[in-house]
Amino acid sequence: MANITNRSPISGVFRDEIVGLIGEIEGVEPLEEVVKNLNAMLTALDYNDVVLVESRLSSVFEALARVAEDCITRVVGQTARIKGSLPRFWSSVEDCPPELFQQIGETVAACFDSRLQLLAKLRDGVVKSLSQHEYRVNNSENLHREADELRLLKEEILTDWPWQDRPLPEVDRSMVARSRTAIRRGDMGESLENLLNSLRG
Amino acid sequence: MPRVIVMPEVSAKVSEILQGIRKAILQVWNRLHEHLNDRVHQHRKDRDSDDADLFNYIHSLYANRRWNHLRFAVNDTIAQDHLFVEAVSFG
Repeated sequence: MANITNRSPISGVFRDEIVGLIGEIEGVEPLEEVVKNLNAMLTALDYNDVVLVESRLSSVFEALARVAEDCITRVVGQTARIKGSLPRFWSSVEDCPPELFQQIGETVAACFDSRLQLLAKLRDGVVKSLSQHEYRVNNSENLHREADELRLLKEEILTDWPWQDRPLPEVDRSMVARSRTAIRRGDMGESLENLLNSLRG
Repeated sequence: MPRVIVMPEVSAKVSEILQGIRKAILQVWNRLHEHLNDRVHQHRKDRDSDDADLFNYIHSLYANRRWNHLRFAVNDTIAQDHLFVEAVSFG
């Protein structure tokens, strides 16, 4: 690692970056350990202790890896929980006025997209970064599986959704022709009121 | 309020599409009743591009673990204050 402990503009900038980062994440409970190690690294930097700085940096990475593992543990399994609540969701949709379908579909799509973005951020951000510094996040392979399952679930729910711009089925012209023939013959069909009454029983 | 007449083949087709599920069938006819009474002026504007006698009424519902998109063809030119539901198609 380059010598970053010399009292130079570079070390000053590096110190400022760490101070800034601590300011942003201090008080965030899952990152307590990371903050603690960053503070220790600042102290090592102030003492110009290269070995100690490297050691503290290593501790920061290890703490980050543990935070990443906790995050992954929390998000993995969400797809299964969503699947479990599907019967209730579909039951609500059955009773919903059709005018709300577009809005509901957009909300559902947005929820899925934000979860997928979070998974991608974890995978391509923290996990990849740590891996590049040779720190392994133990349950990171679950992220790929979770993202795949989430994508499949999104497709299952939103395929064939009644979007406003969805293509309509073609009019059954032969049924129209047969109905008109029946009407000309005097077969006038059934009033909707009678149809409803007979169904309501 | 207009009198809505459903042709026999249409009611049979709706039952077939919805696999006889009473709750779903009732929902379709209830909504048709509501829309063709209270909002017929709005639906009348959505004319069939190939048959000027018809306007469209579209109804989507989730039943039997799938989406059912129904397109009704309604004739408002046969008799005054009467609407004839002449066809239904499914997609």
